[in-house]
Amino acid sequence: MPPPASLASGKNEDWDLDTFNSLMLGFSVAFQPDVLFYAFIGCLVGTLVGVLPGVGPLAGISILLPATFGLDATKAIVMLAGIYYGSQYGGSTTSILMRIPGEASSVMTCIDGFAMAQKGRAGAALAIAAVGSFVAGTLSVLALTLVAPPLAAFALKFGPPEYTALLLLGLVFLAYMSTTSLPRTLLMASIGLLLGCIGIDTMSGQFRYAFDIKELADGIGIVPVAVGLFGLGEILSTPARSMDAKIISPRLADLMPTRAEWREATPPILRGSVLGFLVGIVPGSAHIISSFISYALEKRLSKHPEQFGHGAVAGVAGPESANNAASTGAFVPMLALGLPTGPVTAVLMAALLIHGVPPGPTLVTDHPQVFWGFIASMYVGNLMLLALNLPLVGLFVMVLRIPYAYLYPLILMFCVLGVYEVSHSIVDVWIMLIMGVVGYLLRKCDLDPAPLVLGLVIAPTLELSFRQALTMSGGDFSIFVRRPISAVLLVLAALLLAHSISTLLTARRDWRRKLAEAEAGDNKSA
Amino acid sequence: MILRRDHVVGGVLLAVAVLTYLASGDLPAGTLGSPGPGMLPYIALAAIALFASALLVSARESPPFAETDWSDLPHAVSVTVAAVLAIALYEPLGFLITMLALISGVLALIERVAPWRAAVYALAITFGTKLLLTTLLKSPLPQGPFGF
Repeated sequence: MPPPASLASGKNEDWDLDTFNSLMLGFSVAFQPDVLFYAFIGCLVGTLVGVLPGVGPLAGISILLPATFGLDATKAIVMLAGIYYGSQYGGSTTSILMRIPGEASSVMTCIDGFAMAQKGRAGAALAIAAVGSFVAGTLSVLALTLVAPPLAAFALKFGPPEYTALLLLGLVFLAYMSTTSLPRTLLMASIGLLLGCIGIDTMSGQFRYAFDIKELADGIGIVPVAVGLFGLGEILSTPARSMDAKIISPRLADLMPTRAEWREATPPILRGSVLGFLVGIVPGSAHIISSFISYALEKRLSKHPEQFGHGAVAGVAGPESANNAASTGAFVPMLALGLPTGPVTAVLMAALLIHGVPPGPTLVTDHPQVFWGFIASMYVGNLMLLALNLPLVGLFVMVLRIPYAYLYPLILMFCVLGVYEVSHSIVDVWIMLIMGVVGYLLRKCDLDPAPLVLGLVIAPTLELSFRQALTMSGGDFSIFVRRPISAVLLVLAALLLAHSISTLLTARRDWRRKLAEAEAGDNKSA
Repeated sequence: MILRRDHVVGGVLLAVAVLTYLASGDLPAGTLGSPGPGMLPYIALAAIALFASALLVSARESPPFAETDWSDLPHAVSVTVAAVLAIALYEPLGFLITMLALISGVLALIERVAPWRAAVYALAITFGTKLLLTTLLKSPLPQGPFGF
């Protein structure tokens, strides 16, 4: 069924359909053969990105962004989002078979997934991870379908003060949820904000920090910064010899979990789905946090907590479901509010902007074919991923056997190529290189580059809304507390900040410290 | 006094904030009623200075700078040099020659892979990528002096 002309053109004509009808129209877009094709490519590439250690979804999306320039916005976002949620599926493979998280959010799966593999249950662990990911992915897309449109409608009431408060809350949330310390996170976000100020000021036309380099007039792009920090930076800090690890090969015949394993996996999958979606909405490294919280929750609820760390099925089912649900939950603020919850959604937002589609409250009304086509494609994408991940596990094991020494020159080539193709500017490629070196040094200093990217992305909107709000009020700061929505958001930000500072001052060992320890490999802390 | 990691991080970033402020020249901050183009940059610089100072103050909790593991530095330097050369030559020599040199060079010189194996791999990857980008994705690549 082709979409109506009003939808295909992206114009808001006769747009009075309810959610169900809108979703059906989304499916009519998602089932178009070319959209299906790009969803498949995104899911396949995402799985590979998740499988390969040292290549995260952010680098994968950034590097492949230029490949979408010839596509329309719907196909581009469908493919790029497929890489994102596909990587959450693929990340479990290396965690289970090698005890190396293919993707940061799979770090908790390493613990019990690898233990199951050592007991000869690698196939069952992979199947539980894949089915859990599918259930969580589908349930969370359903939640996204129901939550995002009303939230977008509510956000239409937002003016400059509300947007300023919302973005500040986003930054504070990021700092609150971060596993590094509050000053470190806010320091990185501030550097991102400063980088976001480079170029021509849109309100006055004045050059800022461009130092007579005309290519900097348009500012520093998100892609060179993201590819540099996460793509090249990762290559620089990963010598090939450090990636040699033993791989446990599962037998296809062993893929089916036993009835007892299914029974044990079902409640954690459902709990992980709900938990992951809720955590995913919150800015920060949501999918990592969601898998950690899910693991801790399952261990607490289990009748046999002593099995955790030794191959507990719930230790695989819960975190894997949670990180998939979180990756979908992260789309809620991105689609409905135009607010990125992390660097991946920031780059996806940039991709939409490049294609002339501004994410935010007007996306549902102004570009319904993109919004609903994207949501419908996620239902289809989750099915594709389930079909891809289990039968092709042998192929992914083969990919894992490719030495890293052969992979990283290829990634390096795509870093250069990908950044150059965005603007055909060699200056951007030099920026990528500088950011790669910066990314390497940040890792050495235990500084997380993700808040920097987030700061860079929100800087233009934050600056515009902040200046507009002050101009509206004639310089009266009380405008931010006189308006109820803005006041509520700022009070929330102040409470989170106060809690973070009190934790910092009393040096309490809270869940963030435990998560940092778990990420560093200390599985006892969970 | 032991020089700790956060002494270095805080010190460097505090210096960056001060130097950037000095380089800001006549960027006007404007007034509260009419904020200028310098307002957010100055707020960001103040925030950088504040949080860098916080790191300096709490630096005793960080590990000694001398304990930082730099064992991957030779690899990082080698790859950076390869990337610098590739970027410098990318537009003058074009995609094909530059990437052939980059991949085969990294494999043969840094990873000590047999030169013939490195060359075959580089040929397959670069030609495959060019084919994919120019024919399927219709994305033009920089061409070298020989027209490819």
